[in-house]
Amino acid sequence: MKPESKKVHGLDFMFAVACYIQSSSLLSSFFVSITRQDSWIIVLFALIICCPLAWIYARLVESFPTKNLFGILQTVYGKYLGGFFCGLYVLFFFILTSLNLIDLSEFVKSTIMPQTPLVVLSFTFLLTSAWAVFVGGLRQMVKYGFLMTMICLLIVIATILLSLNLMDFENFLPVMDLKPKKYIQATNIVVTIPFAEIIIFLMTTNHVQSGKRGFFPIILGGIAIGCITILLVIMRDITVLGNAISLFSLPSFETLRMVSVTQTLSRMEIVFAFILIALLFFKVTWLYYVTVISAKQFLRFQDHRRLILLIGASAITSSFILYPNFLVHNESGQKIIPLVWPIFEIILPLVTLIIAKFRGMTRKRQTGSENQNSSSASKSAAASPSGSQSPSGTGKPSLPTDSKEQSGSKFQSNAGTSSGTGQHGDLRSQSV
Amino acid sequence: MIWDLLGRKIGFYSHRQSSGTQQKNEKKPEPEKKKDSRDPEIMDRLEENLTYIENLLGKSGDIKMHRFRLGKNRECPAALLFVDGLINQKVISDEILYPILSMDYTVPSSRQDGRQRIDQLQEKVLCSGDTQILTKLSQVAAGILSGDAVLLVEGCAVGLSVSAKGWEKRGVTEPETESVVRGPREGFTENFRTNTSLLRRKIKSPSLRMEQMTIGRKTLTNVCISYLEGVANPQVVQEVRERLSRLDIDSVLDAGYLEEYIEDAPFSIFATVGYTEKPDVAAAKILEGRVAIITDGSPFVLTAPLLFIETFQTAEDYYIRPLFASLMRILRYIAYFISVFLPGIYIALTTYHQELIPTTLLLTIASAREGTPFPAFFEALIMIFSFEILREAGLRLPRPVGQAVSIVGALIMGDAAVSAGLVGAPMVITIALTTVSGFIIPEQNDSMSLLRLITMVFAAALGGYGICLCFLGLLVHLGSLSSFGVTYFNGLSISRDLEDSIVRMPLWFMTKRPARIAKRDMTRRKYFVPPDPRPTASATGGISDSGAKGDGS
Repeated sequence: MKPESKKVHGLDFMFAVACYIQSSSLLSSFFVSITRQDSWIIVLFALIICCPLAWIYARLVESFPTKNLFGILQTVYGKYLGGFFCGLYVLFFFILTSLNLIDLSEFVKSTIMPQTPLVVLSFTFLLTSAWAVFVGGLRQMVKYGFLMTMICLLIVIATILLSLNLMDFENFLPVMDLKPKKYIQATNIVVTIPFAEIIIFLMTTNHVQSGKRGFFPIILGGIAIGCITILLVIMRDITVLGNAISLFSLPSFETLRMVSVTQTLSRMEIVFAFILIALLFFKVTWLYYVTVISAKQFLRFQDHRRLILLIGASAITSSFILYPNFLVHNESGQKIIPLVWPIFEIILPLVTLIIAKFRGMTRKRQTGSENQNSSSASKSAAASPSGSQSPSGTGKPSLPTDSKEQSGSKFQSNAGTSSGTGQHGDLRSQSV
Repeated sequence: MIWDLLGRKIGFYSHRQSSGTQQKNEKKPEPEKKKDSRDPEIMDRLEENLTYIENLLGKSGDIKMHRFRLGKNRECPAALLFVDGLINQKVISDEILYPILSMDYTVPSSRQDGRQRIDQLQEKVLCSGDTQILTKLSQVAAGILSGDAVLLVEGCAVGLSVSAKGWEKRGVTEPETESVVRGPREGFTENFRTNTSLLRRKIKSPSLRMEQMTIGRKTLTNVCISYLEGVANPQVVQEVRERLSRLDIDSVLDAGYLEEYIEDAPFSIFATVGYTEKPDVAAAKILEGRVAIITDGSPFVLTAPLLFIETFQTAEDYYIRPLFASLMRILRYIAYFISVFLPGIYIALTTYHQELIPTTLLLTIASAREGTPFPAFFEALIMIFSFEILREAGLRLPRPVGQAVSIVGALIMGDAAVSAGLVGAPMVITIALTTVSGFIIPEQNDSMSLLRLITMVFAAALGGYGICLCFLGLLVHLGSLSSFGVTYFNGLSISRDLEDSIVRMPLWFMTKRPARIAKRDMTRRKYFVPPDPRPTASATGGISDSGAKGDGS
């Protein structure tokens, strides 16, 4: 029997984005070592920069509601250039998976399993991930976003309360006392490493039901929740650790190490470690899933499941050869990655959006009368504000009149708010 | 072994193909074949009919054929067939035989209008409300075997079945699996009609449907699909109907047979079909848009689709006040977590992460474990297995002996094992807590026992990391399950039915039916109206004026 509805609910998707960003709170050492006590300002800067970025992503997705990132690239750039970019993205996703995998294994090894070989940890972890990718599609992956986000927020708030006695708010001083160049560098790191990595979610947006207001609030909401969590974590770490924060590779872990509840429950950080493992599982599995489906689309496989173990094995291998040790990884996280990743995360989407605009492939929201040539009409219904179409609506060269189309979009938005996703197609076919 | 398996598979496919072609072939010449020897119609000679039935049923002692003569002058031979023990003797004598033999009427004499004889009996003579004209001899056999009395008359090519069902049955008692402190105490019984009537009495709405079918080639068990038309998702109802009608099995002795054939994930540790023994629970589930499957001979009514959170909701949650009910529900989640993960956590702590235990407790545990020979994992395994053995023994033994088992279990396993130095006292406490909290959610007891073992193995191999992996794997598995097209584990994701998942909100707060199960008629009431103690408040809102008021008898 069919699952209840194919589309993923927009709010679920938002929490998936939030959870993805939250899971990066571990990696604060990349930029904390640069800006020290001012790092919390950097997070706010990054949030401001992410607003236009989220808008770019949202516009890009809404312009092609039935396509994912690869579909968009191939439509905009054509077969060969688009294919080349797709290949680059597959590589990008793959490297991200490997990097996060090795991050996780290093983390587990350094915190709870000091004597276990690294490969055992990555292997078991990736096996669990592979199972998740195998049995679950997007719907399953998204489902845990809310649960994990809430658990993470609860834990962060709890640790803040527990470490209140250790906090010294003078640690924030002096504010804005460093060179401006450092702020720019750190902001770049924050934007590229946790926040703009959500470009991986563009691979799945064609299965998301965004609701009335489109994708922008969803993406921005996800970023905001994740950002607030990271902000809380950083501020807690700064107040507890002070200037020494730049010395540690895992600052939040050091903070929690100092927490103890009435002398009996010391070592709270292990609990935190488990939560982080769960969050990183979410992140790695998403990356893994996106890598697999992007490789499937790039290599034109019928079934993505055949690629799971192959890509998993390569990811484990490459995770061991990418960097010789954690220090090099950290170094490149500060100096190389922030210069390379923006190509994929910011420049390419922006350029794609601009080119698509100039080629007349996008449509403005809620207006339907300007471009009625066949290429745009095929997407006309799709650009309506609800943005929740069945994929079957793409190829039909239907030429709806303006009023009809608007009534259709109205119908859809109504149907989108009520729970009946099954009615969608029917209403649409009636109205168009 | 592989060849065996392969052979079976080939056999299965060829059977499916051939049965498909057979059906196609058989469809065309059906009208001519109707009068074949396998399924003959009732003949107008009484003795031939009786001989056929006698041959069909063999010389069984409980099948009675009462021969007598009809009419004013006793000119027309007839026979009444029934199975002794399945019928009510009073009905046979007072409603069938007495009117036939005592009333003054003439039997139509000619053979041409033999049908009229039966019609006359049905319309004018018999004092029964449930009669049915039969045309085939196989129907006659099926009728008497299911507890009807069948009247055959000389010169009539039809039979008349009169319902006279009346066999020994258990009364409606309090169910033992789901006892409550507050709330209705009646439970389903093994009797099919009693069960359907119990449901009808809970939901008097005309849109309650009871679709009846017969399953099992040998047992011919009555099965009934019950749902609320206009509330239940028609796709789910259709799915249940299809899965049940696809069944081609020999026997159905309990609802468990059906469950195993229709469930979504046969190899999962989680059940995807629910069951209940209480009519009020079944009614509540039907009102939420689920489908109930009532099986003849089983006091358990299956409900589908089942959600994970549903097993944490008990009937009593809705009968007691919401704050306490919510607390109990949270407690159940915690108990589930304890029951699955506590042995694993204990093993991981004592084997890998000793530094996590507070120092004083660590010293206590260390001194308790000093004399024990086994590693923590084996200790836990021994304790768990001995507990499961004791539980199983206590379950199957007759009550008086059961006490002995509990004494032996408590004294020997608990006390003696510790004092003999086989297991440490902390381990006994851990396992005791684990198993006791396992009983809080009886529906998940089986899944918990299995999960506990898996977690222990992972904890022994990889410590806390292993437990973490186990937890994640559990989430993955839960997420991949679905029950009749409804996602099994969704109660913890946002935006759907949160008012009745982790906590139980007040009843007046829950204005909508659960969105994932019911698809139409979602609104229970339009606005949520808190109870208003002011005397001016209109009190007529909740009372429906449609339909007759039940007299409550």
